[in-house]
Amino acid sequence: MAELTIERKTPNVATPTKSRSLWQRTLRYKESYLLILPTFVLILIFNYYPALSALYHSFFEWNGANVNKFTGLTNFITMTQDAILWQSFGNLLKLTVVAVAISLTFPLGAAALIFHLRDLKFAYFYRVLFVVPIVVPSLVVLMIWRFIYSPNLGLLNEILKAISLETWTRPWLGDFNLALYAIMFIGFPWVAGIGTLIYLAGFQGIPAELLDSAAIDGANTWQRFLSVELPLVLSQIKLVVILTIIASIQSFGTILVMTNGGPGTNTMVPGLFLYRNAMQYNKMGYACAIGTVLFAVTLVLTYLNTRYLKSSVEFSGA
Amino acid sequence: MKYQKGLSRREFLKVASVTSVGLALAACAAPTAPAGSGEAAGATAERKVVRMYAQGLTPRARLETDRWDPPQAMLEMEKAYEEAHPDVDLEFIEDLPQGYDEWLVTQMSGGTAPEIVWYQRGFIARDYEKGWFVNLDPYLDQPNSYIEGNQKWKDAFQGPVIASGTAPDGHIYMITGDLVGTGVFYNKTMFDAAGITKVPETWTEFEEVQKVLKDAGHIPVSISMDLAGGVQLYGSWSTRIIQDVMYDHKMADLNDGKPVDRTWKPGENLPPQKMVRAIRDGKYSAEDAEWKEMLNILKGWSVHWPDGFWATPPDDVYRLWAEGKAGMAWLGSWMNKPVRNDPLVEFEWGIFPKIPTITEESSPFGGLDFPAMAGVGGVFQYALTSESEARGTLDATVDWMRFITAPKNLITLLNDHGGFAPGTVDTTGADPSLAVYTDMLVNLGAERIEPFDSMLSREFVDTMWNNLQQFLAGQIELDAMAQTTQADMKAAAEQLLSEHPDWA
Amino acid sequence: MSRTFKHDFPLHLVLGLLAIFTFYPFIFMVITSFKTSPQFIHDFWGIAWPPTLANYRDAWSRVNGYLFNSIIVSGVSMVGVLIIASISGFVFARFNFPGRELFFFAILALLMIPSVLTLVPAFLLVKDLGLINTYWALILPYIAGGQIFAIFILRSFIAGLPEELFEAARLDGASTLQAFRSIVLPLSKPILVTIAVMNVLGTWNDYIWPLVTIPDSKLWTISVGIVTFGSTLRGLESWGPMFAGFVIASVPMIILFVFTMRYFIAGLTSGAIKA
Repeated sequence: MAELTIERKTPNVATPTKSRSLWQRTLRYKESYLLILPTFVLILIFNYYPALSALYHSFFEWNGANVNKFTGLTNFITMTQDAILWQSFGNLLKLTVVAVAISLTFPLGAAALIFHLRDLKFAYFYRVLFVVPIVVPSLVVLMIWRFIYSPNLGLLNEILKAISLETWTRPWLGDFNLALYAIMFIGFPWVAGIGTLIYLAGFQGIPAELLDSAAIDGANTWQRFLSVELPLVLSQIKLVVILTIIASIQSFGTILVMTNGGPGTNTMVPGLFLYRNAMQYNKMGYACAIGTVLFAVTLVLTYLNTRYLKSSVEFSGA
Repeated sequence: MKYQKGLSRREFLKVASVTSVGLALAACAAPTAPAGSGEAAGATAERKVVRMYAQGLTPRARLETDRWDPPQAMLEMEKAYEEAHPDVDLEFIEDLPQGYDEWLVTQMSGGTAPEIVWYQRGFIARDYEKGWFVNLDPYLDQPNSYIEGNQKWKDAFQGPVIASGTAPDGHIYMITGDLVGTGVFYNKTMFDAAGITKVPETWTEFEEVQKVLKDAGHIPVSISMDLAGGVQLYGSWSTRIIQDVMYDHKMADLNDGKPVDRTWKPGENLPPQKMVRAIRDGKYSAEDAEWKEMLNILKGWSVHWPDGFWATPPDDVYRLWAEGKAGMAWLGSWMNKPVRNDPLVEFEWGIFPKIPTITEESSPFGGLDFPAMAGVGGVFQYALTSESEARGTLDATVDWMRFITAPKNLITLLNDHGGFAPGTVDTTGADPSLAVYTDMLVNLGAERIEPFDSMLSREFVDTMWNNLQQFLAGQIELDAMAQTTQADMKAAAEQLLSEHPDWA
Repeated sequence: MSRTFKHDFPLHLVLGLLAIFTFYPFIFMVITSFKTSPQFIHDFWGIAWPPTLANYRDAWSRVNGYLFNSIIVSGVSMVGVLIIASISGFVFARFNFPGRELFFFAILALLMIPSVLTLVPAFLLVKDLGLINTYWALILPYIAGGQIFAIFILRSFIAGLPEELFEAARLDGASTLQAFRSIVLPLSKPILVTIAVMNVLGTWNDYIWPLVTIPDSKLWTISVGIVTFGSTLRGLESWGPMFAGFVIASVPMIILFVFTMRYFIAGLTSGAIKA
């Protein structure tokens, strides 16, 4: 994995390893294997077993209880013909693209702003302010947004009426064209949380000399940002993007509460569809197949993300 | 052991103490657990443990902020029963408003479920084949020793009420003991101010009243067809009563020629088996004139619903009415207590005795009163899990159920809860504001066609509500809606027929 | 000072605006916690006066038992994650053993399976291990899951530590574990605190898993305890105490932030989080 520090030496792992056989190398590192054993034991038991069980059941017609018939690829074939599922993937694509775009702008911008504050007391103050809201349960946040969007009593429509834009009022979550965008807008201004802090960490890891030398070369703030600061937080960006993608692909809780996939099926997402099939329709096998596909998609996206951003910026190390 | 230099002493102590206390407690918690694990529970030599998830009837202590007493009658029942049966130990599980599906699925899969779980009619068709629940037919045919003179347990209930627990295989898996009544709550003060002097009795009068309210700048009636809770409720309520009236003249056709009376006895209505056949034979179709007329009526009515009703959160239904913005609201009987105890409702209010009738004036298929605007099964819907068989507690569980369904006990429980009406034949002692719904059931009868919630598959009902929402929102036209629903209905019926060859 | 302020002013403007919007849900939560349920139903946004302190009395009587459970569960999970993930992160960073990248990716991939699907198999597993109704039913899966992210972060951080330190230790004859103790741990203090806090955040509000694995309500965590609060007539009636419960539940988290903020911020700002 790429390391993005400027001066760093590769850890010296003694003798070159290529000349030794696989078995000999394994023996050499037996201490390593021993030390990571607890990790793997826990993961195998509590994560791999359930995950493999889920993947395994993709090939079955399983109702969660007494029906468990092997059906090979039937579930996957059914998926290709399921119009609602296709629509849900389309929605997911839009949601994920926007989520990634958001994760690259608002938290990054907020972190940059904090980074540029000269008064360190305030910098500290804002950091705290952006972290505390994480403790608010999602139930509360969703309640707030539901009420903002409510057609008759909601804040958004009330504000529009108050500024004489009554023709713009509409049932936001019920608008067949806008509902998905209304969902995307939830969470504004998207600054609370780990993303901002991760970016901030990245900015503060930039060696001061680079910033200074850029200033000496006559670059103004904006140029410095684009040519020095931004490239050097690329690994943070990569991390946040990966996490955003993973979260976006699996999520369905927000949509479940806000629109339940509606109006019609215009905000359906695979995660919600999966949930329904598993918990409400007795089609656990089918749900597992959907989950397998989601897993594969996430895997591919993550891999691409790692490779692409890796090759574009490298100073040293491999 | 873990950290040494580099951590201040304070932090080290903090970490160490947390860990050691934690480990000690975690270790201690383990041995004390089995009492509740459900596996070790069950028939021990001394006591049988019967665990019950009573949902809304789960007793709890009164909070300082409660504005009326929470249900506690179960505790009386428990005490009385345990005194008479010292070998039985009853336990109640805490109520879970969220995550019930996940909870049920995991507990049943793992064999840790309680003996009695709250359940819903709409789920039976989905779950009975999993072997999760006990077939109650044999027990229902035996006498209930807690009811004087009772020959068969099932006779203590109103026919439609106990029949609603029937699964597609013809067996009853659920004990249903109550009804959800619904009513149109209206703002008397607003009516008076708008010059409305009498409660509408026909649909035409109803429309006039709504028009008057609308012209006066109010929302006539508060309803939600939102996909996250609104349409599942109001879509279900409205379609089941309207459909019964529309198809009244055709009921016999759907029933292989035999007439279907409103006050039917179990077996004399149109359960899933009959409906599936009717769909297969083309006798019941979403493209019927009657079906489309039902859609017409709903669409016509929706003009008087709040703006954007298809995306109105269900909570707003009450809010709009309680805030004096809507003149009427269609609410369930469980709202009786909250509304009576809402100090911020600033107007006089009442409840319509009946939903206004659709007469021939309003519709070619009109003329009959609506059936009782009640849903069978409110809080008192319980299934006995197969766990009880496995643990040897089945007999004790059945006996306990018989005890609490004896009318005097059941009515005590329901009065105490205050939200639902008794579904027993004998309603002595029932709270009049609740008994009125039971009377309606007796006088007006129940809907005869199986509600969409349980007519076909759960997937079908989800698409049904989807289509209904889109239609009412004006996204699709009536004919298109009927057509696509018919396609879904036919497919679901065929699917069920292939799974149940004995239905043909 | 004034020059700093002049420079910072536009930043304050934007940041201030962002802060208001971001912090609002928290304020809303607190405001609602002092309202009666009818007040909440009739007026969603407004502040109610006088405040209903009874909400807090009710909430406290309900959740104080659960608070203890949550502290144990989250606390022990946090410690478990710290220990295991720091060792594994160290090994992944420093030793190029065969299959290293493969194992690493295999760990990361686990984050990608939708949790709804793993619910039933995981439950059955925990039940077969006899852990139902114990703290371990929560703690072990939390450690297993929480270490993934932690290893991810720790690995890159440790890989970034200067090589000279390890060389010096090796020359002094230190064993692997001694090197770990004397070099890695002291330097990763801020990062470890960061991970600890993120971990607690993740486990504190978890609802479904404790719900299904802990039938005995005495052992419930606070998240389960609050949501199942007084729901007689389906969510209409206990908004006030429920929100008060949310506020009470957030207090330990805030205390944790305050005490660790120094390390938390420093940890993230030491250039530690690199992919």
